[in-house]
Amino acid sequence: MRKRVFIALFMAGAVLSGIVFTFSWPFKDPQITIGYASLQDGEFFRGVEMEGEGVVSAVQSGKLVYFSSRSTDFPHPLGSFAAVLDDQGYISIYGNLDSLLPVQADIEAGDAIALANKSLYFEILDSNSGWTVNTPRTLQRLESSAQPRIEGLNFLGSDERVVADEAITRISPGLYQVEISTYTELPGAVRIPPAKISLFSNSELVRVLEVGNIRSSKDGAELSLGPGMWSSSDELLSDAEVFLLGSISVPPGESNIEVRVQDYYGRERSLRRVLVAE
Amino acid sequence: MKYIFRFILYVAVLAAVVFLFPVYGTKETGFERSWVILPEKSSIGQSSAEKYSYHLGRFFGQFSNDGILLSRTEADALLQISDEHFITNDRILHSFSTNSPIQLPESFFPMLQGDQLYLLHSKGRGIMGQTFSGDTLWEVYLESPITSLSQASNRTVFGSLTGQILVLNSLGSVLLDTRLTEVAFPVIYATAISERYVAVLGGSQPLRFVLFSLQNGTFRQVANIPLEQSLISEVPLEISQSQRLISWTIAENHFIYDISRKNLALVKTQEPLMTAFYGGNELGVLRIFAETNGGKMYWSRDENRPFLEFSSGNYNKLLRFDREGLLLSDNEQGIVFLKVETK
Repeated sequence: MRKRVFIALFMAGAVLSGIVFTFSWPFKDPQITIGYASLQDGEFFRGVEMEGEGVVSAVQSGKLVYFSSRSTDFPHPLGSFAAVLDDQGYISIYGNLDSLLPVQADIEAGDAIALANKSLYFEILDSNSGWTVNTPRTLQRLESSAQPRIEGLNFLGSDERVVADEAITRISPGLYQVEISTYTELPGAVRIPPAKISLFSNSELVRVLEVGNIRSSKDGAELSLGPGMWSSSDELLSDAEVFLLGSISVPPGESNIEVRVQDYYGRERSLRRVLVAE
Repeated sequence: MKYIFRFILYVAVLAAVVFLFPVYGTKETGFERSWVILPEKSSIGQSSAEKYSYHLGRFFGQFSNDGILLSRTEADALLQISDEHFITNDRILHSFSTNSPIQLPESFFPMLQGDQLYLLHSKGRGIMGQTFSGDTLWEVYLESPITSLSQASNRTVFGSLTGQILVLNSLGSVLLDTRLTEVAFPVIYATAISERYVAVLGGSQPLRFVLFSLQNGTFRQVANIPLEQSLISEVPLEISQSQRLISWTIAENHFIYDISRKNLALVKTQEPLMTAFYGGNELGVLRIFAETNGGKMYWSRDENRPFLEFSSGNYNKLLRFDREGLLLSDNEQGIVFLKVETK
């Protein structure tokens, strides 16, 4: 009973803090090389790729339901991979494995399950929906120097592109698409999309993009940007780190535009611009 | 008297050969061998009715029954996959006839099943049907990484980690796109056993056998059989199928499952089984089961006869068996091809 209460309180706290799970990392000191939802070959990367060599640990308790080195194997983009299913229906996938260690069917979190060769691909799937879960949000916080960064803010009109690289930017009245260049930088100069991007116009919230799960569509991968909002890379990004935030109307006079960017650990950066429309 | 003694001696030697080497002495079966030594870590991984493909580290290729279509150079791997096409460095598709190499993207993994070239991408979700000249015939996306791909009976069948089953016809049109309704993921193996039937083995604890049948233009699930939990361990598991009969055979540990539509039969063997083959030819169905450590093989001519045993000699593992009667095995010296001639 005490354990259930503790788990309930823990989960409630986790949800309130914005971190749904606190799975351990499959490597001890992971060096991330490709981050979640970053663009790879024009498509959102579904998991996390990390460097390291050696023992891979299960991030959650559950059952080993799949290991790919069976006789029916074929060359697979994930290489040899293992899958562990927990009671909640989440499947953790461990790819690019060298070999599977002797394990029981029932696995505890932290158990050594496999050996990786140089790099490990890691992903968490929701077996109920088939979607890839926002992997960084599920894993324990890395003590790293990750920082959200904003490189630029642009306004795309019907026939002009205004680069707002100064605090006060002159612009013609009209309808503009807002474009922001931003990322979260991880150690090793690895860049991933920020967890959340908010656009304000004259202190009013215009749009929020919140990086969420990834699902397959007929055209490839779609990234969740909020409740019911799914976007392909073409719709969302004009470049690897350039997000389209939607349109705003710039009336004659002054407009205060603010963009706030937040990483997965709650660190925030903001950029303010005053648009003077004449 | 001398001739009579010699005759008796010949008969005795002949009898000894026959009885001491029951494999060669079987009236119905003889073996021819040809040897191919593949580099370390090579293994056979795929088969189809007429051709075989194999893994070679990250590379793969295919060969026909007529001969080996593989060569390997010091510089890189050259894998010939048909009379006219081959893959080098597992990324470049070459054609002998046009000599125009096609560079495959880094994240694309080529794969052959039957005569169809597939390109897997998007971490195993995206699959493209491709011509050897580089044209894309069709493209589909699975919701989760692919765990099974087979081409048989004019059907391409995909299975996924989360239980999705996708069936395409030879033109790439989707005939069935469903998720197994009961807890039957991941899909271990899914294939068409005729144009009408698609069989799936999936799930864990217990494994399930699921059968779909094409009725009035729509595939419907007609069987969903849980296999005995106590008889199925995690790994390994081997599955084989009969093209001619609507049945499957699964061999594991000491048990052989014969699944025919909704019926499930069980055979217990003395030796632990690691491999199962189920092939048919004009004389009937041949079933062969083997263990990996050089012990007994079990085989049967057809459904109604009991399993026979013979020594598998020093062959570690039987790999494939097909209608032509070709057995593929490997041992410490490399991969051995044994041709079974049914007389």
